[in-house]
Amino acid sequence: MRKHPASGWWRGGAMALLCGVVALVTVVATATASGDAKPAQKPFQLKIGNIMPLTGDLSAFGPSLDAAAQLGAQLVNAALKADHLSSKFSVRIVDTQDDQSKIPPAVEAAQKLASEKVNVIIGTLSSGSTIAVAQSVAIPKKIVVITPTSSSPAITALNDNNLVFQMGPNDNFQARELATSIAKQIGPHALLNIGWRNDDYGNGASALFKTLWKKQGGRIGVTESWDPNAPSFDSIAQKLVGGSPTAYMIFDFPQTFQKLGPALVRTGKWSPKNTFVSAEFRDANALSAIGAPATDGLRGVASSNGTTALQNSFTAYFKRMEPGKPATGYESFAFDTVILASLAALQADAPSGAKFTKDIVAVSNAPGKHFTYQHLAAAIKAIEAGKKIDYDGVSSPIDFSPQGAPNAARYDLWAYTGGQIKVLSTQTIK
Amino acid sequence: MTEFLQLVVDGLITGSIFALAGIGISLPYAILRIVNFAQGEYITYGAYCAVLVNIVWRGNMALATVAAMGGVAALSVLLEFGFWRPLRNRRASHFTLLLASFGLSLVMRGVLFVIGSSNPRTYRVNVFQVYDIGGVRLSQSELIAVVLGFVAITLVALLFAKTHTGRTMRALSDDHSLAAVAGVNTDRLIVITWIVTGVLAGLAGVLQGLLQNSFDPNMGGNLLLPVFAAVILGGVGSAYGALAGGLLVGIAMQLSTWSVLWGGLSPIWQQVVAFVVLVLALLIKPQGLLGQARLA
Repeated sequence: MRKHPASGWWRGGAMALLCGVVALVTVVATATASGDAKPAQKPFQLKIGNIMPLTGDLSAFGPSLDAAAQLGAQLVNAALKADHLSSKFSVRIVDTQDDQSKIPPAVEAAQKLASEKVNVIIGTLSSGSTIAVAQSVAIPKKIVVITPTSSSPAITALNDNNLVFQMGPNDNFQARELATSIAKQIGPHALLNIGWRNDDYGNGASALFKTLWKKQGGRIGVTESWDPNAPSFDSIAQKLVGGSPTAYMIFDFPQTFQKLGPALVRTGKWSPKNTFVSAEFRDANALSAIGAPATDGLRGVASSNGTTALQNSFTAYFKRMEPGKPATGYESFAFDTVILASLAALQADAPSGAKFTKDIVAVSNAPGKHFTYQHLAAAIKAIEAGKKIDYDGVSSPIDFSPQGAPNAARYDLWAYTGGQIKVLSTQTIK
Repeated sequence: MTEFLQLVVDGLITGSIFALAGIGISLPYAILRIVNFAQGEYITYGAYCAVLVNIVWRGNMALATVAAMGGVAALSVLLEFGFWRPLRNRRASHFTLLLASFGLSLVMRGVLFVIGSSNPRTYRVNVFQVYDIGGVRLSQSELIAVVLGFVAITLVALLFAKTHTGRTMRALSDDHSLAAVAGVNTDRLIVITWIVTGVLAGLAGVLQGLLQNSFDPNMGGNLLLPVFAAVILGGVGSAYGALAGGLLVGIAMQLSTWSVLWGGLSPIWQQVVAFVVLVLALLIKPQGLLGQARLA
């Protein structure tokens, strides 16, 4: 009698099935034991290139932010070493390029970094340069750009294949907080004269603010913009002080204000005590260099993490490690940028920017166990174990919108008096 | 009325700087037919020479100004022997010299960026000291700028009108060959031309630095448009024309913001005003107010 074909098939199939089940159980058991650990990958290095304004209008910030980014890389590498993962993954800032606070050198710097095969560009600090770098170099070459401070909503709206991220809140937040804070300080219907530098940043930020100020019932008197390279600022100052405003709102950088401020003082009709300024002015050293008659009493808003223990701890750490560099208040943004990119690359197991952009959002947004820079080794261990983490930055808790910009922001209202910046209040905006 | 006077005085201050810089373009053109686009960098070098004396060596502004004038004059002479003269000896065309001046401008600016960095610079002066003269408010720096500017303009006018050297320079600008045949030492006069150009550029650099309060290596380059407008308005090659053109362009730029004139233009249009002046001058009187490619 012929054997029933199924019986042989059945026995063979049963054996195969049994082997499969055993293999599956083994895999699952192993995975469970290690928390869904990722399979071993080839060792790789994340190459980062910084573009910072080491000279020019924003040079007060560049060197300190560059130093903070370097500290971030050092901490990540130290944590990897503690986790015995140095041989698998490392982070290296391969180069820092000076963009001179200008767009053409920023693009040249990005091209240089692209030729050095960087995976991530950290920078620039100004919106116009960041947009130019992203559009002409980073997006075509699939390099991730994370700007620590560029705040134009135009960056948020870039068609960037999710390659461009803003660590700081965009100007929509600043405009809202300015309008709210000024209303609280001088009344919601006060008459404001508004001035701004005629560039991407100044035009964008002032337009947002004007809309919000009028929307809440505020009145606007003289509006004036200026060429930062104008040969003389006297007629600009004369125009800006026209009428009888309750206060002034100025969107500028301290280095340009060094030209405009004295011209405003010369008019005899202006005082810094009734003037509000944009976030870039929160720099006591730069304001001190301009001189008290043009700066004493200035008020403004700037994003920050308030005075949390984490922020205080980082500031103390930065000052200890970089005693020669001034703490401008923005170092934590550059510091967080490096850590975030490193954690994302580690999670994606790939240094290629195009492959880990979604991981930047994944490691910073909820859900997941919260980690800060003080527990980096544990955060890395969790990623290696395949667990979802939520990195909380020093600059902010960091929760990105789908467009790669923060969902929420914390703002300080500050005043410059007696050579020091004093925080008057702190607000969180969502 | 006060606003008008303030704008006119502001215009005279910026205009005097345009005039000094403009003479530095007119003179080499009149004598050598060189349109020197590196003049902006000569001006910036003047401002940075003064930074060296005033900030690094802690000298006063008077000393810094003299050093700037001397430093740029020395640089001008150096460039005559090391750059312009070799080009002329090789019979470089006007177009070649024009392109060479562009190249020189880029190299000089690049060198300044490397040596001096692009960080903004300021002088050790009190920019907040204000003098109220009949309702017109001027800072100490502006007062110094306007006084020095007009003293220099007067001296230059006297140089051309009253001195043998000035008259010979005018003769050379009228007819280079004839002056040479008449026994004029043309090489010596060319060197003097570059010295005068350098001294004025050095002074213009310091005055512009004082006026702006804060400047970087792009300062002189940013001045070129109104300066060329002044030179063309006055008449290319005419030193007196550059003086008049500089003052007129300066005043026009400032008065364009006067509120009585339909509310006044926004100051961001001031450079455009300089450009419009330039175009109108070319359309209405192409040879300029005082020009026929002569020194005066």
